[in-house]
Amino acid sequence: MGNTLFFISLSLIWVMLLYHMFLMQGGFRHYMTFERNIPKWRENMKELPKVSVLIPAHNEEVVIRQTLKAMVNLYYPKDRLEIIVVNDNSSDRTGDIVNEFSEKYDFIKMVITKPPNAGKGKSSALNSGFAESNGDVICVYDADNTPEKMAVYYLVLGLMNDEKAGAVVGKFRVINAAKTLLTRFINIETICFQWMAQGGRWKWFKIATIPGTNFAIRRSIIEKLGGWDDKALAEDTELTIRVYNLGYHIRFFPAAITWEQEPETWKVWWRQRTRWARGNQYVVLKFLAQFFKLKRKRIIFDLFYFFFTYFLFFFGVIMSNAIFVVNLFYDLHLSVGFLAMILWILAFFLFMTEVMITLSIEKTEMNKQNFFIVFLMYFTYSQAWIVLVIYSLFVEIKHRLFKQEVKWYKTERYNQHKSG
Amino acid sequence: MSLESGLNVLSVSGLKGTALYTFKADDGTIHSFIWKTKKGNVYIGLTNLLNDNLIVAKQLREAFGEKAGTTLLYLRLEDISPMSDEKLLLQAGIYLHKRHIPFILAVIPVYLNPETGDKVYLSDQPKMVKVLKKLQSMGGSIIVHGYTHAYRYSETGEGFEFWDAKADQPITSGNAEDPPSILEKEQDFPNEQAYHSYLEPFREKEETYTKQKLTRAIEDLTSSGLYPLAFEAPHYTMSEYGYQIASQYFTSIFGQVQLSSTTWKTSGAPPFVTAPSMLHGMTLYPETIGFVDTSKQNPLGEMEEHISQMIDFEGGVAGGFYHPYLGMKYLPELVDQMERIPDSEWLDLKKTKQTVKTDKVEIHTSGDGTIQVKNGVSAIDEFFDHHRQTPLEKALWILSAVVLLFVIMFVSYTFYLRATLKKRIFKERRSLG
Repeated sequence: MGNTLFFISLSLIWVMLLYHMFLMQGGFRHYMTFERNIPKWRENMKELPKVSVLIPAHNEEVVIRQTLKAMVNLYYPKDRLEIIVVNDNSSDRTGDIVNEFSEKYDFIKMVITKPPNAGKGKSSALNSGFAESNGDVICVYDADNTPEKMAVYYLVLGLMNDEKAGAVVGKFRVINAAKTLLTRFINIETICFQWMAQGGRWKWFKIATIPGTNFAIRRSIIEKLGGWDDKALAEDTELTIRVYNLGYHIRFFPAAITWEQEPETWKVWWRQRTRWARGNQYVVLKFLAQFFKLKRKRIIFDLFYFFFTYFLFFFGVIMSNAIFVVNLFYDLHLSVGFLAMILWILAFFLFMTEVMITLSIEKTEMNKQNFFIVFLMYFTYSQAWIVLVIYSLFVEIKHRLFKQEVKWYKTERYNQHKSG
Repeated sequence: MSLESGLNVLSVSGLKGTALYTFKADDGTIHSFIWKTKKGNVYIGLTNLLNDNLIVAKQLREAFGEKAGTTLLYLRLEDISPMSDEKLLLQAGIYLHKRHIPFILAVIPVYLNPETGDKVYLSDQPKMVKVLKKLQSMGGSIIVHGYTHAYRYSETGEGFEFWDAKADQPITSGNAEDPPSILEKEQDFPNEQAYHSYLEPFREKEETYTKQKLTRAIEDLTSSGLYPLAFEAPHYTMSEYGYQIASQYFTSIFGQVQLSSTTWKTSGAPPFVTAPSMLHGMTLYPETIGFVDTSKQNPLGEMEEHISQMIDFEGGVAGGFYHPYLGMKYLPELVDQMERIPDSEWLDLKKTKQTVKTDKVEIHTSGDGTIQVKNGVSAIDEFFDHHRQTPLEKALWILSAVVLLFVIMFVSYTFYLRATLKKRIFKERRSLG
């Protein structure tokens, strides 16, 4: 009994770890090759398409000015660019600030959501903004983002040079990494996520998750899909699967870079992550239920990935921890104790080396301080995820049982005084 | 004189020669049962000689006019498992070596913990392997005393291995945790053929089980540099079919022989080196003088008695065993006692001709005291067979190797990125500028 359970949890955990190992290999290869096409692609770009940048904003007075400044600085012909800020039910000075800009720059405009669509969350804000846009390419940025000068250009470059790409996803970096220990953790986490999960999946499966920000998508696709699913808490994951299912690639093109804020306190982090976890659980259940209707079965990799992350892997970790604790008090006679120890050590090494690669890619991130933070992260931040999944599962079940309406907790913003 | 061939005889007629012994039946008729003919000596089994074989053997020898020969002595250091005390073993071995006595090391390669089912392998105990190798080079000859010396979980050295003692029948399942399938008796079947076809599937299991155990025992020992030259069945119990299987691996067997295929409770051995037909070609080195039994008031008492009988017998084999965990308390006295036997010499197994083989290993002695070993077990086999791993464990080892490879690759990527850092920063500045 003990042995069987142990074996099951070991398998679940290692399927996941091996998958990540495989992704890391792909991500590294993508890093080594993604820049090669740029010169050729630039030559191909004779005519630039019209681009609409959507920025959903709900009480963003702290950050919106900086975001719009970055938009103004974008390297893209302004006659082919429109910036649409979707002011969704803001009760602060967001609208005033946006108006300041729209008066000064005629490519910036503001769309105000109206009932019944007001205050319904990001999906319906995006739908409102989309209705007012006329670009052939739609880019989305969160209101706290400061894209680098070339970001939109590169997104469009990727999209225009790859007919099969339905969307192009850029890279995001953490602007407030040095603020707190938490933001340091998140910084490392996001770097890993992008090179391992995004880069790796693009290299092997021609798919990347459309994040909430810094991506470009063809207008025709949004029209075909009928916009964003406003029931989804993780509108990005949800959109990813539908785009992929239409038969398109989703290209990860890390040349397009944006900088965004991450939660500086655990409380904000917790709220944001429970929303993601619940959102992804929603997506998994939604699409697994209709799996046989999906046209592109390769998406199963992604669905399984989430299914593993939020259900199986999680279950494996819980069980493995339980077995470990029980074994402390009562000898279960596990037959592979020694091997399990070796595997545990290898898992740790794998974690460390994977993170080190991704940090090394980001030039300035591979330093002594981060080395110790990664070490610490394995035993703290990474483990917090277990509690998070339990909690979000609990919330989701409660939500299903009592049929509560989806409620969007917006991630809190901070005033950044960025130096340099 | 040997038990090489046996016949069931109901009546005898027309035998020419001199009747040496006769037997008077209850009805007053007289039967001759030992003859001397022109061709040879004949014994016709009207009585069970094995009940008192020493006396009968002596009588037979005298009757046949054979001469009493030299008595062959041997002493086995018994039940040596990976958990035995290697210091006491070394002490006993060195003592025998100093007295110029070649000895036998009856080794069980795996110790099975009866409570947990955990196994301790010889390769886990490098100290024990070292001692055994040393003793092997100091006049010790290794013999296989089973693989675990246990079937159903019982402690190594205590349990039966090639006989299901609980059900008192041959091994019927390779998995000792299965409840025994109680075999039906021959009389429950209409004819012998039906009985045999009933037994067939059980015999197959017994064969698989026995072959696996013997192969592993021989190969495990060989991979540790210990070269077994013969076999000794745990508790001297094994079915006749088991002996047949063992004969494919060994040319000699030590101890006594289980005489029935339906119960382990009768065993015996003639007092000579023989090759009885039921051992299918294996030579039997009989154990005739027992062992030092500390549960008795006089632990050496019975041995002394047997030794006296052997002195009286003149010739044959005086073979016994000693548990090294008893320390040195009884050993010198035992050796003194054995050497009391006049006209005797110690058996040096390495100077006999033996062949021990599995599909991959062949150990051979040609009689000059050296051992030739052919080991076809490859390094990879050995690694994966290390500790006789389950398929799961093998899979996990492969997994570990793959992961280790990737960890190494990932480290090298990191170093590569680190080494090209300046170049990359320069390139980035140029492309942004």
